[in-house]
Amino acid sequence: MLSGALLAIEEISADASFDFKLTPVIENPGGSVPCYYACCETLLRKRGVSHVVGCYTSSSRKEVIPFFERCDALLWYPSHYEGFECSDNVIYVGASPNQHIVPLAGYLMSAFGRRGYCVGSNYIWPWESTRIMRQILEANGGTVVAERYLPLGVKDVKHIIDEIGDLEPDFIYNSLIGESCYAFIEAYSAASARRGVSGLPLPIIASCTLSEPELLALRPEARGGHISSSVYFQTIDSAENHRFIHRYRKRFGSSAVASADAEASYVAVLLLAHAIRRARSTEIEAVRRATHEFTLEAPQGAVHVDSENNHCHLTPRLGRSTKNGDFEILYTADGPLRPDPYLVWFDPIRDTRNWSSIGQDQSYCQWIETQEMHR
Amino acid sequence: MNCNAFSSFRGKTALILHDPDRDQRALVAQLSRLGLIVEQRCPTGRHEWPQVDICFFDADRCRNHTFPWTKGEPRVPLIAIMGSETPERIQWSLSHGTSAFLVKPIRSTGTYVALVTSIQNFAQRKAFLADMRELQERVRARRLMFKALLKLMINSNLTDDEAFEELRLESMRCQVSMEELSLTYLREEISSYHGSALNQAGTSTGRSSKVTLLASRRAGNYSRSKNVAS
Repeated sequence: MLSGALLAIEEISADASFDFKLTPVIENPGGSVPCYYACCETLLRKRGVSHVVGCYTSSSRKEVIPFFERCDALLWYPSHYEGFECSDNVIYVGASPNQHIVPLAGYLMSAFGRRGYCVGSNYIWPWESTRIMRQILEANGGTVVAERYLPLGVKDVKHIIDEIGDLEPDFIYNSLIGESCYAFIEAYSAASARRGVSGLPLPIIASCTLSEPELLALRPEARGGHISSSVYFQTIDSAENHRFIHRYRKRFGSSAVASADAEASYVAVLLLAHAIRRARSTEIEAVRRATHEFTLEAPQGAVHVDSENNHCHLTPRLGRSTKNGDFEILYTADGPLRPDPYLVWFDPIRDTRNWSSIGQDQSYCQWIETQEMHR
Repeated sequence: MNCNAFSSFRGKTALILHDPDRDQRALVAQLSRLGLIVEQRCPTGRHEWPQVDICFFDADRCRNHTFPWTKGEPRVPLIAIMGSETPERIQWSLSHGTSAFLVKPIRSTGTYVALVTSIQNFAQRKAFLADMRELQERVRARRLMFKALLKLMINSNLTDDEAFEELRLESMRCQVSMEELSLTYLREEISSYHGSALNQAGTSTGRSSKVTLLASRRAGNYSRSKNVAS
């Protein structure tokens, strides 16, 4: 996130078409939720900052929103999240639930089946995203065979894998984050390989969180074959993304790995800069209004902030991880999708059965073959 | 509306009784995001009450005449918008059947939880009141049922358990409550003593005729079975 934001700040400052420079003021809460409040207090009250790009977890965002509302500052939140929120003091740059959870659920049901096993870390994002997944499955006659949560950072996952082996679901919806996620995927892949010798391998793991830097944190043999739903993958084949990756690696080293969070932070700073230029002011209300007035050509494609809910129009994608730590893109929506943070316009049957142009009757294998042929 | 269902508020209509100001604008914006259609009225004016699914009202400005229903028996879920959080205004709002509160200044946060809470509370309260009214009716009808049992015991020479069982089976067959059947039975019994006017009233439905016939027939059956037993 920090790299993406810094790259955009430097680009704006070097761009002669902007008659101002951006100066980064960095505070690091170290992932500790109570520290986010203190950091924001320092930024907004002591250092005179009025626009903050940051927060990853929903817990940290919810911790600081009341403070942003009191100070009337703007938080540019660069992570995907579970929805059911809409503060006037936040610009939501990451995916809303209809842009990542919904396509994933539709794909999983059509490709693998309707019996899901859900495992996640014990906090807001997994609770709420699993609830959405559960309701979509149930509305379509499916079921969640079990729903398990682990405390943040816990690496003991044997009982989860044993239970998955016993229950034999069609797929795993994984909302574990950080160390727990890595421990789970590695142990799961090892268990699946062991089973593969004498029987069927374990079902596929799908998530909305797994990204390229996380794949590289896994052992190579555990990296491949996982499904991820995201609006950005490093492998997007577009001129804008190639330019972004080139500049990213030039700035942070040839082995630097971009991700959805890096791209969203980059986009957040670009949106802020363009809005300031358009508003001719850094004042919150003027910037917020200006944000709704243009579309940005981002590495992921066109991005536009919705004037009703301050969330972004983004393009849903599905990827399958590869052993070299990237994602092979399986599906790209026709274009940016309007954000629906409260799933007001969502129909759990209609919108998951026709989630893509790929017919629901096509089996996963046939579909993959079609994809291979088109490549 | 089910608070667990998707799109639970899409297309629902909310009435806001609040003067146009920043709070009202924030509320309208948030309700629109949630998919509701918003109607707005002045909180103090006398106006025609529109067809709505939920009502937000300014607790500081509304008065007793605001709602077009008996006090405390709202027809739609009520959400009080609280400016002065005083005990009197809270009590006033509660006495009108308010099922959730929204505290000023109105922000985007809080509206969703108030909507879900009010709809849930309103549905529970409605179901609870319906159950209570039904139980009250049944308590009132106990005396009638007792009289019917007594009549049946005397006329058909039954024990209290047999009379109760007879009444229960007959009510199941006719698909009416035991209390209702008791009333019909008593009317017919009364009619046999008091002439044609009540007789006509009591036998105006097919159901009543069946009760009379069956009661007479069963009385014979019971007599026979008693004889066999003895």
